[in-house]
Amino acid sequence: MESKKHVFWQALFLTGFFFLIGLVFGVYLEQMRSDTFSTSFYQSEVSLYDSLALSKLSGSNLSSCGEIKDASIGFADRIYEEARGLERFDEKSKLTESLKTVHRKYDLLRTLLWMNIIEVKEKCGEINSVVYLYAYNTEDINVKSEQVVWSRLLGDLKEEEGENIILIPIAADSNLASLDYLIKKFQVERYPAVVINEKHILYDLESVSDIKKYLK
Amino acid sequence: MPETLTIVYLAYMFIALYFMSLFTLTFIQNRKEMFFVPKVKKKYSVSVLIPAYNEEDSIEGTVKTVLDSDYDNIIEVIIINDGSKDSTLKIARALEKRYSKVKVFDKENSGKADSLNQALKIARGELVAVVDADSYPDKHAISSMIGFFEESDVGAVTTRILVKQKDNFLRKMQSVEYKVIAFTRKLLGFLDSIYVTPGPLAIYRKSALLKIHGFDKKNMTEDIEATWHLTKEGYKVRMSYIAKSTTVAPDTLKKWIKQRIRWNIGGYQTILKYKDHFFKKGMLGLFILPFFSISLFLGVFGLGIFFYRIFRRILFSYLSTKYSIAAQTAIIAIEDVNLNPSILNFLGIILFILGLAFIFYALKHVNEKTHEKESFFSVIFYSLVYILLRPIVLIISLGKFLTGKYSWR
Repeated sequence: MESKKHVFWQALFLTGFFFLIGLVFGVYLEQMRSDTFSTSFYQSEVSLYDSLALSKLSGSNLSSCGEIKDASIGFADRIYEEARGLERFDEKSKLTESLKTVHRKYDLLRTLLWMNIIEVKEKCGEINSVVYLYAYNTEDINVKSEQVVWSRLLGDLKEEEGENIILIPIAADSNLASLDYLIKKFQVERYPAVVINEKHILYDLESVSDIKKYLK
Repeated sequence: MPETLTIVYLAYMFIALYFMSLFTLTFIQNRKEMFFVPKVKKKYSVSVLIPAYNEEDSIEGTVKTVLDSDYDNIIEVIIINDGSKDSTLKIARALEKRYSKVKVFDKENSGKADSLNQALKIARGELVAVVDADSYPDKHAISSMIGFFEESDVGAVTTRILVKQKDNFLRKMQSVEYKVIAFTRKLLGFLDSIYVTPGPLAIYRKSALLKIHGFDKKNMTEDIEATWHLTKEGYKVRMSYIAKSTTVAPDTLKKWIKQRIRWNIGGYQTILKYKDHFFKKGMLGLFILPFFSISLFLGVFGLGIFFYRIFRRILFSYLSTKYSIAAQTAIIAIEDVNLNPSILNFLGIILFILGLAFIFYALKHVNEKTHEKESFFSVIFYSLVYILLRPIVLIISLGKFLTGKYSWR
């Protein structure tokens, strides 16, 4: 019987070929998802600049607090929904870091929004901000399960309060200097944490009705 | 950089894809030779050895089936009674009186390997056929295996081993399994990589068996050990795909687990015995040992990952339920259901479909000559559930092997 062992190498070549096709397809798929969110991100970026510009005008009395508040709430709601969509794909991203980068860019956008809200509050007051700071890179099962409940709880709060609150979820471990500064400034010690109106910091889960007590 | 678990999944996929490619290519290149049987030029004399321990229900049937063989140079059928506690010896003696070729060799219980070694000393044939006392070789089985010994370096020949009765669900599962094994074993034969000559029917060149000093008494699977030893000594092992021997498969889960533990422990013992031959020249070191070891390792490690994931999932559900109750919010929300598949899900599904296609093709190929049929449900259940039982038994076996809590019976 002649030697047929060349088939080991043929199989290796074939496997390498198909495996590579699979990986390329995977990277393409993840890149495609990332591109979808990048497009949304650019639109949100424009909305944020618009909102920032509007708040600048408040100093010159060219725009009313109501308009600024509506613009900020509208923008916050929009990126809140986008963030939820992003996170659903985010955890399914296995081969590339592209979605993580988009996530980080969104975190920066939300930090800017938070900063803008703080500024607007000083001029107009009357805005309830609920900033949810969570750990994005954690593998701690306890923290993960707690965060799932927090996110559900704050979703319920947003549904009940509607435009009365601005809900801003931000990944606290995004390594953003501006965010780190705010976290330090408000003395947030650990995550998950919920900062309500920059006065109250909640670390332990509470019911929606209890959280409502901290709102204006 | 992908996370560790992703790399592990990708490595699993690569290995699975590699073996699937290997088997597919081997089949494509050798499909015309699958049922090839070399012409018998020399009528080798054959001694049939039937080791028996408490086999009163099947021994007579086995002996009669062997005597019914169309190979006309079976010179003796030696029943080795290994200290049976039932009426095996009585039945064997009656057969000895009735048939001139039948001889009974009665001895104290010492295990299958020792029984075969003792019988080997008195066997007169140039070839020695080993048949388990609960197995039934086909009429043409032995004659269709003899031709392979025309190659002087062939030390052993095996055949298809199939399940005799498919009267319950477990046996139906084993029937699918045995057929898939038969198909892949034949393919491994083309690569000089058959790693076992199973007990239900294997024929050995007596001189080769004597060269390796017979079967290893300490090994729980003397047939695996003997095959590896023969390969190490430079002998080839072939398979007659056209022949078959049916065997009684375990009919209860308990018996099945016991049998598989024995097989696995035998596998571990053999790996340990030949560990120095890893990656050494020859098919034993370059393929059989790594292939066998990787299969065992991937089974154990894969199950470990599976349990780790399940444990984390359960813990996560428990904690989130606890926190949800504390926060007086919904325990589960529609948003929690994430149906966006990752690329690993896609690749996994493709691999599963390819595996399923391979199993279906293997069954179709094996069944072509036997005119049998496997139900679609059996094959699906085999692929989704039965296969998962094997790593569980692997872990139990590993535990027993490491603690030394095992015996042949």
